[in-house]
Amino acid sequence: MALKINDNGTDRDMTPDEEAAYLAWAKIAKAEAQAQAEAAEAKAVARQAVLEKLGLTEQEAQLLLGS
Amino acid sequence: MGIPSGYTSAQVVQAVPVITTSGLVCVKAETTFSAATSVTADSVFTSTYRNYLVQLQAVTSAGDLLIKFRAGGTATSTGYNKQELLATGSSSQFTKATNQTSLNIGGTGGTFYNLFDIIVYAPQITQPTVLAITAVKPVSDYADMYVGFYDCVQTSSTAFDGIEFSTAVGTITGTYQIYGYSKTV
Repeated sequence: MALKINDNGTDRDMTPDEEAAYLAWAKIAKAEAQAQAEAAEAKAVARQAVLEKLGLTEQEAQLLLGS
Repeated sequence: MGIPSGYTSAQVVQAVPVITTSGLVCVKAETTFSAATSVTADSVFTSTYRNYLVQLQAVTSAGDLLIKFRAGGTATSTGYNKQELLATGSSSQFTKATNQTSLNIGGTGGTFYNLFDIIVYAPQITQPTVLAITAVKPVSDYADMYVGFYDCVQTSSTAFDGIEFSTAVGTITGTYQIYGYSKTV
């Protein structure tokens, strides 16, 4: 099934060239989104490790730091 | 006021309101899209206006919502930087990303439309194009909400005339309209 594009207000199927370009780019975009999600997760894990080291709960940290 | 001597009532000149230039001028009428993989708007940025407001209401079926600029009908897929602040309740998240293939303005999956005010600064000027994006992201039953701020740069010096919304996974449904900020009084 062809991918759909809204081309300046008109719904139509992507051309083969458009579809190929989209699929190539989407693969990279998915990797970028995954990297961002992993970075956010790593930051959250690191934050939790620091809180545990300090003996603080997440709620106490929020009260202390405001975030 | 009476009718001046020598004139009939039909000859009295009526006061003509002064026409002032509207602050925002619609350059792309409301456009609706449904279950599209990508949405393009070409020839919307011109030298008539310097800055633009894009109002986007969208929901994705699965993936994140992505923005790219276009020139002459072709999307640019390099050189996007962003600084993001996303907050809900008392939690906040800051994300920096550079040299991306598009601007990722986050997940909008589900049944709740996300609303974006996207200010595009000087896309027609041959220097990096800056965007300031404010996002309203309701989740669950509208009891919870994410606040999103995205300051973004497309780093090339290309003069862009269009914009593209898409997702790398699934489809997007919604509406958008584009306005030019008047630069004359």
